[in-house]
Amino acid sequence: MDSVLAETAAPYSAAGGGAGTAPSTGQLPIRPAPEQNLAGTASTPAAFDIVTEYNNALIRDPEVTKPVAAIEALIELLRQQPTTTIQETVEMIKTGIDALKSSVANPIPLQAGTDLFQEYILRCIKPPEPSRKSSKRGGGTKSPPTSDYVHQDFDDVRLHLLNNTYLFALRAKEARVRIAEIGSRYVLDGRTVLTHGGSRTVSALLLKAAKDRLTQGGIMFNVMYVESARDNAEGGDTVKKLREMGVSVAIIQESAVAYVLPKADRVFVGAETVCKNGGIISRLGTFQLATLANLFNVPIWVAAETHKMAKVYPLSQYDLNVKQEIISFRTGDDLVEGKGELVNIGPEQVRMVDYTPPDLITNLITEVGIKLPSAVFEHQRQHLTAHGKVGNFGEMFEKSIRGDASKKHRSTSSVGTEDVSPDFGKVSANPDINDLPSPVRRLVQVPERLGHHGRNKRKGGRSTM
Amino acid sequence: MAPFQAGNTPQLDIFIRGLKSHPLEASTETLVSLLKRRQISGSRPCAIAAVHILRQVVAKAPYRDVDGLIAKIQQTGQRLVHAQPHELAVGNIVRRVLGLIREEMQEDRTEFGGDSVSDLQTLCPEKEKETKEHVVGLPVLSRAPTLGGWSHQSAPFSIMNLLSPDQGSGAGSPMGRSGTSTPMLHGQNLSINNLKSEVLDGIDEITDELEQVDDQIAGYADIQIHPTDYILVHELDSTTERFLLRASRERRFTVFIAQGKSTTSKAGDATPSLFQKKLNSAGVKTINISNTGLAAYMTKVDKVILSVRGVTADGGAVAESGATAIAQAARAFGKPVVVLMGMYKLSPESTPDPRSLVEWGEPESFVNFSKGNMVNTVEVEVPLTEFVAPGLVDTYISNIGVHTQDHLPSLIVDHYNEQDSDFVLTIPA
Repeated sequence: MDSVLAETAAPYSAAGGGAGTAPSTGQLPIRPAPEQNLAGTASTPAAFDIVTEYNNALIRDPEVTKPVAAIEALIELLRQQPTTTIQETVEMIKTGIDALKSSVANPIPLQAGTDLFQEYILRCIKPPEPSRKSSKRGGGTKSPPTSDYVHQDFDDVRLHLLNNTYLFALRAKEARVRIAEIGSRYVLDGRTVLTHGGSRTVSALLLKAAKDRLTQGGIMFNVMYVESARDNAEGGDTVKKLREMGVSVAIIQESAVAYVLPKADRVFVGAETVCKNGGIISRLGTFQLATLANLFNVPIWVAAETHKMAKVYPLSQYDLNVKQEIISFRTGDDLVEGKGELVNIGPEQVRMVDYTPPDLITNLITEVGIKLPSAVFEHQRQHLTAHGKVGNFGEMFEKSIRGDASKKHRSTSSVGTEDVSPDFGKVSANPDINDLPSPVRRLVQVPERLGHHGRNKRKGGRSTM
Repeated sequence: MAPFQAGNTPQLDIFIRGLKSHPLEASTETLVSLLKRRQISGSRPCAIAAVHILRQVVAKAPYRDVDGLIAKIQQTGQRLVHAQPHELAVGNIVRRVLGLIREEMQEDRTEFGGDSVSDLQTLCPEKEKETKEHVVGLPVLSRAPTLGGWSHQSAPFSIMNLLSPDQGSGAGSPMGRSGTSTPMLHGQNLSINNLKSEVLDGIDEITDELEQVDDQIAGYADIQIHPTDYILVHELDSTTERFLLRASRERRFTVFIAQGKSTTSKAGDATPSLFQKKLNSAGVKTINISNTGLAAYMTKVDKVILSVRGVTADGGAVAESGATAIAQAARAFGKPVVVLMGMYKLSPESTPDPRSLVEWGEPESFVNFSKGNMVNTVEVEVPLTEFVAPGLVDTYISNIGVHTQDHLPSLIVDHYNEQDSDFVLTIPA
């Protein structure tokens, strides 16, 4: 940790300097050939610090988001500390995540990534499921999986993750490009949009919209760029680029937002995290901007990748579990210069955040399309498991081993037969693993839908992609 | 305006009858021109026409595989949508059919795939094994991870896609472990006929749904309308009519009919009275009120019922002009606004520009050519429809239930495939 703090002084020079503190943790931006990865596991350095790895991931590619950096760090952890059993792996990942979370002031963005990673691992370590289709076809059942089989597959999963670290970052960036494509359609000809802060997603969106007008014609739009005095360096680059492309950009002081809002047609903001209820956690000032935008009936659009969706459900501003000192009452006695302004932990200068409730948000722009805030829940229900509490990964794993999870049923009748899991009874060489009653599958299952299905005769929901 | 769609319009009937005898291309052309000339108008007739032509495409058009079928549907769909872009229902029907095909395709594929049956098959361990070989040789990202890798469309990205192995890597991958390309093609050819009949069945279900939709919505009437209620209606279409008539069987209530659209001076006066007669004979008291004096009655009104032409994904409603004024008045007085929509009216897209959904009419009833000096000097805009902002609607009643705005995303997920949401923009291969 100390070394990390030392690096924070000069974040952008740390990429070079950091190499000394974390020897051979593989600081190359792109992994070399796969063989070398395998070789790398052999020469494990004694002290692998996941926090350092996370910070390095953020430093070496400024474009990368925190969830993705967390995923990269976790994969690095898998690489550096080879494990033999699944249990061990699960434990290791859990400790790694805890270390990561405790290292930053605002663990929520990172948590979106770690949730995703846990989810993925959990899904992968489940045994292959006896298929309902094959039973339907009658007699087509495959031979029961052996314990080797499961384990083998986990090795494959591991290998897949290790070999493709960079791929995830690439995909995350692709998502941003896609958001820009979708969102730029919502920047209308000749209108004025207002944006806030240095969201990379929003920048990409606006630049795409400007570029489209340069290439395909159309009336250029105007941008009102709200900047606070504290971090005005943030959007400078975007403003410059936009202006170069012929977009008129007005820099607006944060205090002037209410004054200018009636002149804006749409507000675009980014988000650090999208909460379960569709609210967002974003840099300080977003809540205030959204409140004002609603007052003036200006629609507010949030551009955020789906990997930023985290399983958090803040009840209020003060329920974020983020270490930030925004309200600090002081008297004359304890006035200390500059204190309570910014907390410096890690290479990221912690930006203070606030929570914008979903009812203030008009729509979310994600790489899968325009979504209502209420669709976030639906999306998570489809793609992430339903385990309510955050961070009960180990517990969930335990459950899956003991078979508690099989109590959850799917409502659709077509699956009813499957509820009594055939693989439940099969015990072979390694009961621990073989008894996994297809844990995640079940946890993922949708609870009773509210009494309706899309097509009466057909399967209700759509399948998970 | 086409206030009453009791039965199909003659044009639509002629079109449907002609479908069997005419070649596909000719029917498509006919429909496109009928839509363009507004000879088929109104969301339900348009939807019915679209279903019929798409059924013909599935039945008659030449295609060798699912991809070909999807492309054909997309092409036809795009022509229809461009012919009548204001009618969201047309695009919705096309999406429904596309979704249907994809669903059948996936079912088929999993049946043939055998091993990788689970819905989570993209994450299934055996797939990992398979993909590993591809991964070693530098995975190509540009290959869109599509549903089964069969489609040319850009895929929906999901949360899990971030981590999952490269999907659609090579033709074999959808087949799970045993996936070499030969058995897949074989299976696909075998299944195309199955798929065809399945899809045709599915389309017939949609047709049934379109026929029953008004009745189903009317089923919620006596829950929504209470004795001695005062109901304000605006748009007088078959859905609203059926709804009120059904309620009148069990309830005694009063209906305010908001009128005063001078744009429909020609036939407009006759239709409300016809509607009124029906209601009156059913024992419902009706009161005509003028749009301009509407807010004065709002205190008396218990519920506003709007029938709409389409609903966007975020809950905005395309309704006949004047609806926003009513909805806003209702909001100001705290009265609930209920929208009646068949599922075919719910679009999975939200619109970048609400103005683009507005249909503009001729200004002749306001300024005609006899007032010569006005021509070329005064610009008169006459919206036939307008966009009611999402927040102004409280309840959506569809044929499958009563929903709030928050409920719409899950309805959309149930009915459409994400891949098809912007099929209008994609160029089919």
